[in-house]
Amino acid sequence: MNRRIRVIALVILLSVGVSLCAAENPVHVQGRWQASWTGRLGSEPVVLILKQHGAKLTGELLRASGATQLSGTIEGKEISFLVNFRGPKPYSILFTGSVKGDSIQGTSQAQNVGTSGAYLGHGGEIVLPDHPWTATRVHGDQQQLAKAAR
Amino acid sequence: MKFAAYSRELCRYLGCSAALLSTVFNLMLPPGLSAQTDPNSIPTTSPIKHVIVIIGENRSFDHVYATYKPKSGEKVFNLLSEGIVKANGNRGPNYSLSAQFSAVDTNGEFSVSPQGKSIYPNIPPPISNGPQKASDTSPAPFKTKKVAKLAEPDLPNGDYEILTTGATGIAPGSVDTRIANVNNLGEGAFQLTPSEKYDDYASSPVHRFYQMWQQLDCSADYSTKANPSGCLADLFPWVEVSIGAGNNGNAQPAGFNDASTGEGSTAMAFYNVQKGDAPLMKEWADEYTLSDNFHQSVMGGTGANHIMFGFADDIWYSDGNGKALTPPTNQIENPNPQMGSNNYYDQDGYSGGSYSDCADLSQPGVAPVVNYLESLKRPIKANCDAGHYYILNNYNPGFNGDGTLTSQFSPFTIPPTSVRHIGDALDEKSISYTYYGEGWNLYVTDPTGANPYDAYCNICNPFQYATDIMTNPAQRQAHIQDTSSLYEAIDTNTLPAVSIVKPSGFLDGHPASSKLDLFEGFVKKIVDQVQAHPKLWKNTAIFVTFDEGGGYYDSGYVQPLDFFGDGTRIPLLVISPYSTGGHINHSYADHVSIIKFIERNWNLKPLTARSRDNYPNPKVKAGNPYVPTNSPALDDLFDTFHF
Repeated sequence: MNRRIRVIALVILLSVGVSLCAAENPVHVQGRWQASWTGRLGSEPVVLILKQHGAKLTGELLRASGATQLSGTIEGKEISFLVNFRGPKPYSILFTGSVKGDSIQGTSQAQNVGTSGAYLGHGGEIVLPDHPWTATRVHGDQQQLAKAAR
Repeated sequence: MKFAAYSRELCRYLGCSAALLSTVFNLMLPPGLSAQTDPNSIPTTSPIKHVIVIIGENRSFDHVYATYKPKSGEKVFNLLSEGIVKANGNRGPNYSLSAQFSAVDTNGEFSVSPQGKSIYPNIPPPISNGPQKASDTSPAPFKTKKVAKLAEPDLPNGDYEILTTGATGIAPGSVDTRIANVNNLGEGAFQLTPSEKYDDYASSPVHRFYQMWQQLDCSADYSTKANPSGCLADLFPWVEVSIGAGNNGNAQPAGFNDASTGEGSTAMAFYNVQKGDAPLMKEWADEYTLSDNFHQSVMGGTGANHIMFGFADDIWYSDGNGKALTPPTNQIENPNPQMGSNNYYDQDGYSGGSYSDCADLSQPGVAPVVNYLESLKRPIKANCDAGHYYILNNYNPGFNGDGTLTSQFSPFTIPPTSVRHIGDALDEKSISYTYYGEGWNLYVTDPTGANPYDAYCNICNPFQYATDIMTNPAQRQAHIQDTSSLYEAIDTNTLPAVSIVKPSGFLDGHPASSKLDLFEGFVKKIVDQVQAHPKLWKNTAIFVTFDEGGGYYDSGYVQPLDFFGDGTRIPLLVISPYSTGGHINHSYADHVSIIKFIERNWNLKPLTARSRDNYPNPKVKAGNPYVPTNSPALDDLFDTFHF
């Protein structure tokens, strides 16, 4: 009986351990992602270039106005990265989200510069105050990006 | 150094006049931009050579001036004069005149005067929807003055403290327990202060088109000699709790109750100028001229009211080249109540229905409004062109700041319009004008509002809807600038003939996202600066008003002019050397009256054959200066001055 319990306990422990390891292993996000980022007045198309070193992320966010570096982490499926935008009134946006296969869905909030979540416009008359963003993986340039990452 | 500064420096060295410099620079103008004449050299009907219009956000007349007492010999129509409240803000002998009712609208069709009314023994408790705490990483109020100054440049230097104060301390969506006796407010208007401080961020009531028609509760059956439009203004809380700011086409949530829209009876709150609230609004009324019969020109909110200010008309959905089209189905208003609900609209919201073809009586919501207008003793024409879906609520203007189309970023966009606006009329006579929108320079680089400092109001700029301005870089540069250019123009005596000034969202006075004291600070900075330049001050008129009443209750008369409005009374202050003395003007007016003033002063004709600036000045009967007998009529505001 004791032996049976010990075996069951061992199986449970192993299962939990395996699932924990699986949860902590970052999913693969390196590559180019076509994204849509919603501000107070609308959604703009942006491109994310993600370079992955284990759980660490670097890369760029490309807008019509230019490229800005990003840095962050990926823990399991949960992605988080900060982008410090330059300009006359520089600001930082923290993007967080969840990766599911070839897509990411998340929200974004300003950091350390006031008015995050930002000015909501007319007492909150805004369509999507969480400033959501979505991204879809662009296939075909993985190897090139992996090379660039090295 | 900008053009204005160059002008000043050149003048200093050359000893020339501003008019001469103006002529020289006009010869160098880029294509597409008409020559602008020095305002001081243009013949005007009055001594006024410069008009500055400052437009704040969302305060009804009674909300601000409920207890205002004018100087001896003057009369004002407000809650105090009507006996609804006493000077101390307590209930007056006629308190029941402000009584509010619930109603029943369950038969599947929108009604502007719903029946089944029951008086509220106590109006539903107001719900808090302002910022809970000060923070440097969330919307204003900011935790530090450093961040406040970084975010907002347009306050007087000594006023930055108030951009760090006033957080509600209450989670949004909770009963606003700052308000004394919040569950026993009685049946009508209540003073917001002192239990909630004047400097606190207050809650924002609904202020949308069909909602405001219902809030005013208008019917020819209620018509009297003193109130021929028959608007009772007695459904403000009911509309707040039954539909609020819309549903974007979604079904009514399960368990829906009076708190579900997140508003409660926010609309019934007023400030008390006798107890120190709105001190500058009171001071300017004491010293200059206040209108107690000025109105928002369109029922509802910001966008349509600024459009009416610029076009003296509403604009409509099109192909962007002047051909009227039908908008996507989910953008067409449908205020008919959903099956099984009491007044929960089918399709309405900031990402939902916002257009109506008001020439077609079969369209949702249209017939009840048009039938009401036509049933009046003096019937009013809806003034809707066939096949035109008019914009009734807030959608993005057609253009970004750089002249590209906003439709690339948002489906909730009004296509570019070629309807004639006041800028066209001024330009044709070489009369200079500029829209000074605070935050414009940043917004031009940030069209989606991604930058958290970007609180520019795109829907407030009437010229941003207009193809002729926005597709011409020279026109954009000449006629749309940031407020930093306004301050420079005042200092360098290069102010245009007409200036329209809009604060950013931090200072515009809109409840929940701004405060009235912040708007007072914004206005004070401009008034003080103009007065510091005596040559400019002597021929300048500053009109200070709001885009709309914000959904706050008001007891004043409302005159129907067409399908679109008018809506509730809002404050209008006229600040100039020719409007001193604390006079109260009673002539019926709305935003288009300012356009009429500009047109009369500079000898311009009405914008189009159908625009509201064609309406005559009001005629009234002795004993009732508030109600035009020749409706529809709008004053041109010349009688707010003593020229």
